[in-house]
Amino acid sequence: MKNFILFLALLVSATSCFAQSQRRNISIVGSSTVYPFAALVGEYFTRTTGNLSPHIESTGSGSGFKRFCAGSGLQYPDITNASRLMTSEERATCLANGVTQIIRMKIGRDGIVLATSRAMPKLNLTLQDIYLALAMQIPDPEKPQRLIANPYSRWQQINSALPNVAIHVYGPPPTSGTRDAFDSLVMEKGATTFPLLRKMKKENPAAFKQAANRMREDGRWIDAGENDSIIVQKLKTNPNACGIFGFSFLKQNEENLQAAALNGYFPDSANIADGKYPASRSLFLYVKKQNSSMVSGLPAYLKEFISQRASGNRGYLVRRGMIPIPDREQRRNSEIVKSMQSK
Amino acid sequence: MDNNTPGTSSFPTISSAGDDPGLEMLQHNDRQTCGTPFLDDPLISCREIEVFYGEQCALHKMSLDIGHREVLAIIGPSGCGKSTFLRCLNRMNDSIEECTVQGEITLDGVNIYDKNVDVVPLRTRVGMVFQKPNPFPKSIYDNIAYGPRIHGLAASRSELDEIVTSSLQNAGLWDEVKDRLTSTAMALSSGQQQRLCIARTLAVEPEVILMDEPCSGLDPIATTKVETLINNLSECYSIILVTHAIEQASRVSQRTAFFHQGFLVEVGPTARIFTTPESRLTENYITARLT
Amino acid sequence: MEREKMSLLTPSTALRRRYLHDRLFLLAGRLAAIASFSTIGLIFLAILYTSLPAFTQSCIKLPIHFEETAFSDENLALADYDMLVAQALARIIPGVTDPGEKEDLMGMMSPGAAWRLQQMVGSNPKRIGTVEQLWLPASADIDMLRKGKLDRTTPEQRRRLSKRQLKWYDQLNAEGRIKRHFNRVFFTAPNSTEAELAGIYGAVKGSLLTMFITLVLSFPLGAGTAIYLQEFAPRNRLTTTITVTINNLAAVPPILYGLLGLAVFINFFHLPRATPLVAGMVLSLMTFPSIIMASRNALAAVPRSVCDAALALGASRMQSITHHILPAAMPGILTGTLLGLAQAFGECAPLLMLGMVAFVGNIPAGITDPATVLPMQIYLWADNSGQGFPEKTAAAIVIMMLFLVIVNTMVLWLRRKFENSHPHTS
Repeated sequence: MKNFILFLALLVSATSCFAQSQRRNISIVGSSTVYPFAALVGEYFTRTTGNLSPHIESTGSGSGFKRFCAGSGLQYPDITNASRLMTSEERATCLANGVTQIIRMKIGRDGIVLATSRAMPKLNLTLQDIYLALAMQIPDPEKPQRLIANPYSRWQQINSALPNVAIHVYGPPPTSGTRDAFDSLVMEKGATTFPLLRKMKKENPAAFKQAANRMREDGRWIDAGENDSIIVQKLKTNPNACGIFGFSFLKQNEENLQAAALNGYFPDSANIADGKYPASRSLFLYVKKQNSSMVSGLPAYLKEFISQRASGNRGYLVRRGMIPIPDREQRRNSEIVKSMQSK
Repeated sequence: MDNNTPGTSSFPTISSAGDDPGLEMLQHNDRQTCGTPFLDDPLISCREIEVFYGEQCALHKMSLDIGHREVLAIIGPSGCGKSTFLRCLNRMNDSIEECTVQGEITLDGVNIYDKNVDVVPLRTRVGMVFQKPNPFPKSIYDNIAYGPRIHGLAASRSELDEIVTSSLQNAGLWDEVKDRLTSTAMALSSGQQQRLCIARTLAVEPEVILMDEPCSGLDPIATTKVETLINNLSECYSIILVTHAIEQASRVSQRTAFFHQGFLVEVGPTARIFTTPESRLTENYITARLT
Repeated sequence: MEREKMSLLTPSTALRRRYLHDRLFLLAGRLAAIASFSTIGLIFLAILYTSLPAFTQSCIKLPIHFEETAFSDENLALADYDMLVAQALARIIPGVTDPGEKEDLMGMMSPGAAWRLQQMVGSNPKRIGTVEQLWLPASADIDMLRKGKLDRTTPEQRRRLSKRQLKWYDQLNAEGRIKRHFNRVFFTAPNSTEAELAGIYGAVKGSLLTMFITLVLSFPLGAGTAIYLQEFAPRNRLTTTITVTINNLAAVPPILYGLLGLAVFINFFHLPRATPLVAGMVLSLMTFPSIIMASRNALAAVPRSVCDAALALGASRMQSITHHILPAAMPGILTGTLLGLAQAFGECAPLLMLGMVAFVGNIPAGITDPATVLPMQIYLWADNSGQGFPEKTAAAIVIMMLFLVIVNTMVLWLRRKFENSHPHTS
């Protein structure tokens, strides 16, 4: 019994010892699109510098910002990956919680693809086609002044050039950064091709967001969760279905999957890098500069991330499906990291 | 309280007993114990003890002395309070939450229910053997050595060996187990197990041994062995033997007490109880059992 | 009325109907048993079959020249090991000059090849200046091709391997330079983003460290509480309430323990996230009600006669418990503890909240290093659509089931031991 009490006392004191003042590993959260790249860099970083591996959680961009902005102590993440920019609300939260020194680094570009199985004919879609296929409500084709429930069940009904195949699309849930980007890059652009919605956007932005981003709920759009590989599996087994996910997943599964062209452009490195492919976006790292002195290896990790062998035009990240950014922006990144290291 | 409910079927009921004076007495609550419950130089003396399980009275006011180096047999039908009485003598009833004991039990002039009395030395001096053999799931040696070990009776391994040997010899088990002291006690026959339990009790050198129907689960040959053992032990120890088998009482005891429905009905020298019982209840019980 | 005698030879209709019911019931039972066993068996076989390729790894034999010029820097980690691999490849497949072609050639090897060389030089710098023939890991695509999982007939532009790579593969194969080795890496390495380098050991060690913390916390707490409640505590309203609460705690959804752990251990006590320490603490909260219940049952099953015997010999209450009841109940208590641990071992939900769904690229050295656990590793790999990961996932499941089989065997063994040493309880 005495031993037991002693043990408990020891445990309590040990517990307080574990409250940290220095951390040996970098803590990274954020976008599931950037996650595989961050992990790959982490691996090279660990092997070459001998540092402890970073701890990388794939939480989605939104949750990543939330965690990142919660405070500046060691129990909060040092880096959040994002597939979109930080919003002004998120920045305000950060400032309110004492996260004042944030460095944003653009590390690459990514495309959101609408992929199908290779068994399906190649799709060539406009943004309007996609909007008409997926939105909950669309302008009435007869009386374009009002919205009606989406009547389409086959691609051909939308556009006679499209194949006569049932509409069936798996996509990311609203919490995902990929979904945010899809909404703003594809759905909203497609919606504004109609005068009714263009007017709405000017007069009532909230109602417009609702109309453009609300996906249909009759089973033709399916929220597939953050797990992109499940979508890939679904497409392999269901040749008529489409899936929405990041370009790198397409790259990993090119054997079985093909991408649809949007507004005439197929997603490939060149089209995504220069933005011709409409559903392309930039990928970012947000770094908490305040933590760089308390966490060993933080500048070294960033240095590895932007190095030529990683993000260069023939780097390992690029082989994994990340689209490199132009040299000018790469040089800017090296300057940022240099300034961090000198401190 | 109505004490007239019939007992076991072998036991004559009050209603069939007519106007017999002995039974007449029993119909009132001021029952007296027949015979001679008191001794000149008792080892244990019980005065006016009463035992309750919650509200229910299990043992009515009774007094009884136990002498030095005698075998006292306690007989009576099931549920008559024999075991309850026995368990009072080493305070084994303490672990039953509901149980309360009133009155006075003295050992060497000390009331064992006094709040200053420690049960550990009491139970060392008043050992107990149970109805069902209950050896520890350990080796034969460790079974015997357990008591001496917890009480620190042996200063060395050789002393402990000596205690184990003599206890087994006194229990008449030595010759049967001397070659396998380290094997498990659970492998012994139930007769051997019971003698092992007696040996285990002897190892802490008690003055009194309480035996709660020690032969009820044994075959006739094992029973004979235990009875012989009790006979031998009575030269050194006081033994209180609760038994169902009244023949056994007549064979091994010097005095016999008869309990019925929580009352001590009669007590006296065994020979007298079995030949000329004073109480009709005793007579009926004995004759029904013997014939 | 005279009752008709029942014939001993020809059963009556009523009797026949009775027999029919019996037979139907028996048949239904057999069908149910066959259905459940075959389903489980099929799933298990499917997983086992899928996992088989993960236990081997294709390697390519390369003549590596550890030339001194490559190690000009003091720091051996900074040497260009990729170049050593590239030079070795150029030696066996000469005449490759085009940069794209060179990249294809390099793409046949895993990045782990260079890391392996770095490791070898690091552990023995005397290698510098020597020449060695080494089996180095091939890339996941070559590995899949070797294992027959890649179709050579798919058109080139969507095939994962180019025509050149296939040609080189055939050439190397003919020279006997490609071989499938037992995949030691899988059992010794931490997680990796490359399927051919990913190992289960990081997660296994994370699980073991977590289980250690869980055991150290929940066993003494659970067993101690059980002993007190069963043997010492008075039976009153308070203890009854405690008992009922404990029983209810065992039925609380595990995710709630995760939320509790996040709020208390991480946000309030600032314990490091995603470590075996925190995970073990949360899981011990989850297992200890079931340990209490199992322990109390085990204690209650010990025959009181043994306890009485000890008391009658003058043992104190505590002695009779520690010397007799506890040893007799110990197999039961341990069984309960092991089953609780087995449940905790496979538990995912509470750990999701503690940041354990994460990439951790090294083997945790202690209980305060970030780690992941086996079920989490399975979840992460199942999520990875890269080449070779479905096989790794299945292999991880097999490893996990192996652990559970070991635990259950121990439970069985303990139970048998219990029955042997206490025949009068059965």
